[in-house]
Amino acid sequence: MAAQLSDDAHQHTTLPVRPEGLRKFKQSVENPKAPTEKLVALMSRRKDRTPKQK
Amino acid sequence: MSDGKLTVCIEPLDRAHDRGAFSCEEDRLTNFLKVNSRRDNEAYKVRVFVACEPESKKVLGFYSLVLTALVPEEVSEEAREKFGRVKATPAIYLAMIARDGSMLRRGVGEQLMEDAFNRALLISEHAGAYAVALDALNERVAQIYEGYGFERFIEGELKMFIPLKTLRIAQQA
Repeated sequence: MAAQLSDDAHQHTTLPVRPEGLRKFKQSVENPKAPTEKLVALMSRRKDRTPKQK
Repeated sequence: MSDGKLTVCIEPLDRAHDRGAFSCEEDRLTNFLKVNSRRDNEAYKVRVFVACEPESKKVLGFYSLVLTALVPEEVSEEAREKFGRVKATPAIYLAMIARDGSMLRRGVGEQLMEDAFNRALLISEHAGAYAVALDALNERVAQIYEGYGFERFIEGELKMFIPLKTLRIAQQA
């Protein structure tokens, strides 16, 4: 049986970006910056506490 | 947590969760959680994860994820020649993230972000994706995301991304 998709099921399945934005994206993915201290602190939180996620 | 912060459990939305009292600063996000989140989640249109206190089902915050493809906007031939042709590129879209107004400065938003980023890394182990992308609600929010290393696709605009490689490095640091 085929799945029935609602009319707006395509929402977010594509994200249009201007070509210069995609070029910047490609460069960033190929040469990612070091994470910011704030990001490292955020991502290390879980190590400091017992995971309670299901 | 003893510094006013609240440690929450973050779990997939299910029918037992109480969404009725949730209210954040953005009506669109509040309405989504109250009206459409369960339907869209059950249809796998998006996946919704909610934050609750341990042993409680009252929703204090949520986020939603969906897979997306970055595609070039329709542009002039001149722009296409200048910037080249780019194919569709897979990414994970952080469609919504919000915490209840009563949870301001309680650390719930940070826990939701951490969980969303870790989940994006987990997804990327099973399906190809290069980055987490999002549309910031406004300039103030965009600047908060920049603090975490998000970049704007176009300077001055609110569409943003962070490479999953960067998240992976931060996770392993």
